[in-house]
Amino acid sequence: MTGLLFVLPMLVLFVIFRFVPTLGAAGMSLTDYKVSGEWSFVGVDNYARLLDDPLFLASLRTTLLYVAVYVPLTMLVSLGTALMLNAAIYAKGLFRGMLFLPYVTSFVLAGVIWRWIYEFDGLLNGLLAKVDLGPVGFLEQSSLVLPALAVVSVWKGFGYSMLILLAGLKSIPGSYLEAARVDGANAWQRFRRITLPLLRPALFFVLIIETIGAFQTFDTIYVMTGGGPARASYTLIYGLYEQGFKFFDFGYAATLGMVLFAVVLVVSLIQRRLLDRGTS
Amino acid sequence: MTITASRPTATEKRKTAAPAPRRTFGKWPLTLLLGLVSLLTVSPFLVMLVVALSPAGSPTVPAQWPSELTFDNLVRTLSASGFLGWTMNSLIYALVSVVIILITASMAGYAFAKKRFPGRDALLWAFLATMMVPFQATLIPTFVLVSDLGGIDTYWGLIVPTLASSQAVFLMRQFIKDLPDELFDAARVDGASEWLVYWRIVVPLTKPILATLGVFVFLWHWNDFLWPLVAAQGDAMRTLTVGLTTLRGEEVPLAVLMASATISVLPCLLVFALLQRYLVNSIAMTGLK
Amino acid sequence: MRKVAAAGLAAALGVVLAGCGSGSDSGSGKSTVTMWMYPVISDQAKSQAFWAKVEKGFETANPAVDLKIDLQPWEGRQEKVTTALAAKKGFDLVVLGPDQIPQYAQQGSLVALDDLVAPAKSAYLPAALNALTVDGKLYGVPIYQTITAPIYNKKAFADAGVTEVPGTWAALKEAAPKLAAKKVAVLDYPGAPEVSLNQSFYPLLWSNGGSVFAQDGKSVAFNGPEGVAALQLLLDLKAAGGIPENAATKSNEIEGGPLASGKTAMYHAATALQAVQLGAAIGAENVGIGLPLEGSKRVAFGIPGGLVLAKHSPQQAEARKFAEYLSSPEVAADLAKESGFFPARTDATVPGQSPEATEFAKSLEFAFPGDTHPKARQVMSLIAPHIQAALLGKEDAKKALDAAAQEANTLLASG
Repeated sequence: MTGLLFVLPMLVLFVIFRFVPTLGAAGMSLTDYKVSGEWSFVGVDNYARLLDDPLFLASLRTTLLYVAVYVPLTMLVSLGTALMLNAAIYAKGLFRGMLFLPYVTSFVLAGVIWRWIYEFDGLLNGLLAKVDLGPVGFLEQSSLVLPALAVVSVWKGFGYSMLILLAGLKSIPGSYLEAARVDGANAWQRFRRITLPLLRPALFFVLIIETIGAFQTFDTIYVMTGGGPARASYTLIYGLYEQGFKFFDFGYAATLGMVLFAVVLVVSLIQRRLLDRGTS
Repeated sequence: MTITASRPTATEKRKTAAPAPRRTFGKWPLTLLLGLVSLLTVSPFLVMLVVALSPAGSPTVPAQWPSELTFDNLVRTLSASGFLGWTMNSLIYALVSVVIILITASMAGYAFAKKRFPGRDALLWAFLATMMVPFQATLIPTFVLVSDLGGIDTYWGLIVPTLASSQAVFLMRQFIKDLPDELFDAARVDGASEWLVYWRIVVPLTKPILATLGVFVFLWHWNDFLWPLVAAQGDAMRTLTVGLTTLRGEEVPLAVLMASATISVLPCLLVFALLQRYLVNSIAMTGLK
Repeated sequence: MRKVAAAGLAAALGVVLAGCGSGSDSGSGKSTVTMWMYPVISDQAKSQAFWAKVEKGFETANPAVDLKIDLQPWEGRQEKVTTALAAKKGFDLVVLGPDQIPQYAQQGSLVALDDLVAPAKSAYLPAALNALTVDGKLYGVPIYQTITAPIYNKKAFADAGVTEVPGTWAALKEAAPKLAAKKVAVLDYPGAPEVSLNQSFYPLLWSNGGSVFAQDGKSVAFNGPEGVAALQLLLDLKAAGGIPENAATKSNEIEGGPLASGKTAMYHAATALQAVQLGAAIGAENVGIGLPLEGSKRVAFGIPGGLVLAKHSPQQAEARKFAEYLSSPEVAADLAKESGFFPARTDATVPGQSPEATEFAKSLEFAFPGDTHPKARQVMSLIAPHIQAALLGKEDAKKALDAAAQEANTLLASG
């Protein structure tokens, strides 16, 4: 029984601040809970409203689009840097530290710096102007804003995935690659036939956490675009925040939370299944 | 998510120890390319620093290199009302969370790893399951709950809801599980109480993982945004991340904004510089986020 | 053994609780009144000095009250105030605009303050009192009045051969191509989401005789012909190079902005402070201050700052005392002097009013506080993205406003 006693402090925290709000979210999504604390039961009205809400449908599309831009980009960057670090000989530790550095900072900081980098009279356009180009409205054009935001998140976050992939690469026995080399396989063949299959578990792990993370992007959007321009970066989470803390429609915001939960759950279950198939 | 704790065995290490000679990719071009990419990665920090050290309002990068560098903006930031308060709040938020999570998570991790009690597996499963629920999905009910308990604009309201961390419990459990049972049995035979076993054996043996967990919890809280944004209403309770976003809307010159950003990132850099080894190793080892 | 574990738990929780004292006034015997104030005085140092002085002045006269003035940023004001009222935390008194008060008054979160101004009612600007009244009850004590007016870079106009700065829509349109030829956008239109439409689109809408809400407040009216014409004006200007390329996302900050660097020539809804900032950038002699831009009439956005009292406040009497102090002619005049705003009462004389303030005061007679409606702010955040879309060329004027109107009407219908 002392075991239970040791678990107790964490258990109390979990019950009050994880289980209760989770059930609360499900419950609130069935009410018209207002900020004043008044509410009445409305059944599935909120869910019906979702289907008629062009804003919600657009935000879902925007979110998926963002994930579709972000995930491949971050996978590519983390794999590329991990491969380079793995092959590097000089100053490995220094380079690894530099590449990992953005990961220890906040998305808010990233947003503040990159907002200026992207601005009309900011860093990038200043550099472009030197070669008589631009200015480019990175955050001003609907078509550019999601890639621009994705770049910021990749910059801030790739260090983590890079380290996981690097560890994966390190665990590939050098003898395999050496044997392949002796057999006359070129670099690409070795990468394609040996490195990539053996790296698969690490790649899948990174894929899952990056995808889930992408669905939850909020800070950079809040800091850099406010969901704009013309709602081009108005994602599911941004909509949740706006419905909750701008319109104070807590019931509906909780419903959006349930949608987020469902989306993340489905995506991770699909990926988990693929992972199981990939490793077995 | 999966926490795969696979540590390379001695033989594996030996296998990877001797790298094959590389002929296909010249070492200098590679080093050069890697150096370039690394430099590019840290360049946003460098320009932030340059702008922060440029006299406010004067032309600076990218138009031209500032004619002189000055600490005025940093001084102005530190003496501005609010900024030190935000820093204190961030420190309290991060440090108190680190202490409590380390204690509660290691206690729970120990129990889950080495003790039997009714409902253990069900509880463990329930903890695992909450990892699937994103915090944002429960943002509204958590806010209502904390607000009903009178916790908005208080330190406990800011801190306590963030303490329930499944990842921390699992990390501790994974690590403690690998410790040999004999250690605990020997202590018990000597008549040590459970509390003493925890304090004298579990805590000292888990120091490296506690350090790692501490670093992660610190960074997570120091950099946290959404919860502090809604949990702190008055300026007196704002954390640094939330404070930074309010500077944007006020009449703050770019140089002062960048100075504030620079100061806000210093603790992260310090932690990074001192504990990079723990961070890097633990990510490689466990995949903790 | 259990005792030890329990002690451990208690210690752990003790750390939480010790770290978490909510800062309440324990045992000092004083009652604490907290007021949330905003950067009405935008210079941070001056603002701090002024409010410290107010605090001291009041506490000297009322030693039993511990007054706390919490200086909040404008950013996120609506969200913070609503959540604080919902949580019954944060402030006893707060300064709100007329568009924010109705929703809180209807929720029953505020206390009516008619009796507080009753002794000197005739001294207040009638427009200020009207704007802060909901259903016949006054919920805000006006402590200042703001006004916006157009500011001009006279040199930019002269350089382009425009001798008289435009004061009407027609003149604005006529000037646009002439300035565009010099690579100057005539109108510095700020379309960023954080800029209130009160300082961007609404003044154009109002000056064309339009309004945001229908008379009964049950639907919106901004997509009527007046509104469409107002947005079309912006689109026409854009086509003629008359607004900046990034108008859809630019803010209205003067320092470091295109107006200060001479890339734009006028801003139609500036504050007196912005006129001073512009003067610092391009030379005060080059700054012109006009009357509100004339469409079918002249309207300027100007609101009273209303000090409201939260119903949840346990210190009603003390809070009222402070509201009286802050709205007294002497303190109101001081505030006006420091802030560059105007006193909301005619018996307060502002010492040494700046030349800019004197010019801006001429627009006070055109002051309009905006359409006060419980959902005014929400509707604003629905319109702004569609104006952005129009400015980005994704929607035409009619389509953009109709789409926004549809969203807004859905919001209004949801109650």
